[in-house]
Amino acid sequence: MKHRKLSADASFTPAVRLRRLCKVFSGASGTVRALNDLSMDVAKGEFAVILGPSGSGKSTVIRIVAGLERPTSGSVLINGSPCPDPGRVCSMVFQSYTSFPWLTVLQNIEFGLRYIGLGKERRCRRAKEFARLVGLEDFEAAYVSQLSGGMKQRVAIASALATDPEILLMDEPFGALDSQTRLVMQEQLLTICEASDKTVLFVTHDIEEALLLGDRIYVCSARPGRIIAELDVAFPHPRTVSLRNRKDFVDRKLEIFHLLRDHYYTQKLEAAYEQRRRRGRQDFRRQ
Amino acid sequence: MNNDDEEVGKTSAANNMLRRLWWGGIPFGALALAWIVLVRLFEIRPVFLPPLELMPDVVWRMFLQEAILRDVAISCFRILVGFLAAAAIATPLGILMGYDSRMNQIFAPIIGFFRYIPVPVFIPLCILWFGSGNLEKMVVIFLGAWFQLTLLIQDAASSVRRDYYEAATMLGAPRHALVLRVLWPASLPQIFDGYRVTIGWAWTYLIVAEIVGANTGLGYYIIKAQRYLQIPQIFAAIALIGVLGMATDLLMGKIHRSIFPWAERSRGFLA
Repeated sequence: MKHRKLSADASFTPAVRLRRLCKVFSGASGTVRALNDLSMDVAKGEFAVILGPSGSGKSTVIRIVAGLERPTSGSVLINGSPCPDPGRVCSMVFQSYTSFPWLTVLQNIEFGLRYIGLGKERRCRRAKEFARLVGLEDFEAAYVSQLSGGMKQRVAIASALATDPEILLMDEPFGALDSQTRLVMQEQLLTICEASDKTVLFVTHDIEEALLLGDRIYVCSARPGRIIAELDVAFPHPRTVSLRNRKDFVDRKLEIFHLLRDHYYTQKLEAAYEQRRRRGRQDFRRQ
Repeated sequence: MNNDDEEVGKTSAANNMLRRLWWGGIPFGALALAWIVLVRLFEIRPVFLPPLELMPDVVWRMFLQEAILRDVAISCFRILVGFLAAAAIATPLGILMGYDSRMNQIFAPIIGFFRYIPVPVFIPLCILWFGSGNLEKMVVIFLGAWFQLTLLIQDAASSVRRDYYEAATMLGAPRHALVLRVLWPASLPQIFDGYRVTIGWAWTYLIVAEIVGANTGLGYYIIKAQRYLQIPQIFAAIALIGVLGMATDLLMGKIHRSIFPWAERSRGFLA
């Protein structure tokens, strides 16, 4: 394979390698710099979390990895080769419920299976298997529009996993769920991921969620987004939700919170300083 | 679901239907009452407003002696053909316009141009080109339904959520599969609503076309009754058109619910 030549040892080729990523959106109201010089690596089999405040461009990162957006500059390497067509290597779970309401649970999970070349019978068997995996075996024939939010996201997760992607991208998948459902879903996701060797890139603004699920956390700054810290999370697997009450977990949480808070105020100060400097220059010109 | 649940579901659905009929019947009753009272109170001459008591007999004769059902069948046939032709062209065109903004840029202005021209102004030309038979009526209905329907379908197709396309893409669907597997099923309920609305307008165009020049059909029946000053027949025919429209809508609503069990909203009379 081509990409193996790029690196001396294939095992060091990260699943996702982002280098100096910039993204500028230009719209009617001017341009917005969403990402600024963002670099990160996600190792194979790792559960990586991008943690950041809303509007930090973290969704943009994941959409670029998915191939749904193109970066303004910088490079994206998936398994060492340039970004393939969307849907080849990565699957994605979106924050908005994107399972198709006009299909039943089973048909939803089957949707992507024809594109990986499975026959009718195997598609059906596979879909049933994944419906069971997310605990929806009793709702196979139900239309997604009849399900609750948590169940809709489970359908989306099952659909994404059923195509057996190398990399699973999750863009705040539990962001719209109530907090109890979110806990259940987090634990289910942990169980599923611990049983497989998938690479996961997970975006969230929830510090606890990041610590509970992630092996590695990339802390992202407010817009324009860039990585301000890279943290290893050493809590042993298998993890459960009760991990959240442990002292070292709470300490970690506070540590990240302080990091984000300090950065927030620093950024504010810098912005104020910058504004002042510009105004000063204008005053100078006026005289 | 077990048997008991199903039984309960059925009876409550039947109750629901009865209740709707009951509440929906109130304005009809009020209208009838007002009719009777007005005629009695102001002693209105039957030439202007025939007494309601006369109507059952008129309706009876309309069906038995005047073979109104033949006119109804002809009118329905004209609507069906004209509407189906319009739908057959408007559906793919509207979807194309909703999916591809370039197509929309090309077709939207010309459709906007024709859409605001009232269809009756085409009737003289249609009679000139197609005669005054079935074909002319169908063309009028076709023109009236086509432009409106194209825009309604374009709107339905373009309002499909973008993240459905993205989700399908991420599941490996190639671009050409998006139209058939995402756009079409996602917008179909709204497209169907478009059909339902335009079929209502089609009735209007049909009656106008039949009043202007025809020798069969419901519109012709009304204009004939006018000529012979058969005022009760005019009332009966108008009521019949109302009933037919209501039946069409009921049917469309039923079809809507049975082919889109997943659709969250269903609007309209008794639907």
